[in-house]
Amino acid sequence: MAQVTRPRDCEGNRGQMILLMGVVLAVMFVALALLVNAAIYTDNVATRGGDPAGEALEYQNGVVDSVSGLLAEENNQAGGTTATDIEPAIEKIGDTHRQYHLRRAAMAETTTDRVYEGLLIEQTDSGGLANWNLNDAESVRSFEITFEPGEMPQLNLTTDEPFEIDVGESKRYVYINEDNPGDLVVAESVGNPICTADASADEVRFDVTGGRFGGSSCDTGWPGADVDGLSFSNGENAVGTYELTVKGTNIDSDDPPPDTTTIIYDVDLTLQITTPELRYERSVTVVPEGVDA
Amino acid sequence: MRSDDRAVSVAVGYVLSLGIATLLFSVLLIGGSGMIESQTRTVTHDELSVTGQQLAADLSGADRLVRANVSDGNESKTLRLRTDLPERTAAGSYTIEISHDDTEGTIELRSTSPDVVVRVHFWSQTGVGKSTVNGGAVEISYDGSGPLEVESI
Repeated sequence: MAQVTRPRDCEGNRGQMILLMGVVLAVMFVALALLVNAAIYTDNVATRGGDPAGEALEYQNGVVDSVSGLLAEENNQAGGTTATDIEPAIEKIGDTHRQYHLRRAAMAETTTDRVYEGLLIEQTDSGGLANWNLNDAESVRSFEITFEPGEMPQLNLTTDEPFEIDVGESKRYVYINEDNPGDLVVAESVGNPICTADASADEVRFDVTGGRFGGSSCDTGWPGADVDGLSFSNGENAVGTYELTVKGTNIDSDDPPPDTTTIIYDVDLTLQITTPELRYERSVTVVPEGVDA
Repeated sequence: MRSDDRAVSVAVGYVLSLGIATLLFSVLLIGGSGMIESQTRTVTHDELSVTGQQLAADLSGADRLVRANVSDGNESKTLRLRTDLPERTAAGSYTIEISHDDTEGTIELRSTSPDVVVRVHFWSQTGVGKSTVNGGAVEISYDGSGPLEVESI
């Protein structure tokens, strides 16, 4: 009779294949579980995070808006504000913003590098324009002159000297040529007009820094950054009013402007913000809000 | 002569069981490993896409900070932005290659085994220097001029 039973010493080898496959399948299931977990985690990460620039931009714009508003308010009051007056207020603004961002794990530091004083120069009573000279003018903004062409003389350009605005590097002339009495002109050099306006109008506004003359564009980019001193000459050949804000305070005492007020022209700040991800530092020049510089 | 076929069914049954089991396990192994490879490729693609989008968002954020113009432009800026990207994906380590031309750039993320390549486009008006870095934390830097630079930290 055949032996149909396995010898006793072979019993331990049975089921090895099933066991091996079980282990292999278990490993595969674990790998699948890890992959599913990775997919879920990835989708979760995809919805996280925010704008890394948001905190820094919020801080930067907050400080600039606050200081800009402060300068505007100080200048709009009676004027006469000096750098010494404004620095503690800027420091207070910096402290307020630092406290706010500190609560959001961001270290913000505002440093005042320099406060530039300037002058608001204006002539509000209509009449012949005064001649004056500001030796240390570096920049100008909000520069507007309102001419009254009907009151202005018609000039013979070979003998008369037209009204002249000199910013050191270049000049502009505004006049009515007797050979062309219908036009009030702006010229880069006498006899070469670049912009014209109707001389029969009651008033012609020349927005020097805004680049408009008599309601039309006269945008030549002048004076731009090329200001090195500022003066009015031959003002007796122009009639009207004007207002401008100048960076500089050194008035030629022999030729002073008619009405001046000390103001804060602009402020240089260094802004620094540090978060766990971001370190950002920049210098910035803050001007009073609403200016056209 | 008389043949003796006693106990043959036991042996045949044993062989049949062994064969069926082998076939079943083979099918399971082949199918399972194929599915794992397929899932690995899919998950790696997802991970690289998300990683690329994170880096693209941070590059655009850095660009916004550099371009943020709050005054007359006469200013200096320095910027360091750390981005914590994963060091590995389901497929292991990977590389990030950044190229930029004019205002448009491409981040190419590449893993090997399985070979998965993902390209993410981004916009930046500030230039971005061409670079290739490994996965993991990277830093986007700007030193007041020139392009944004991306390097491993």
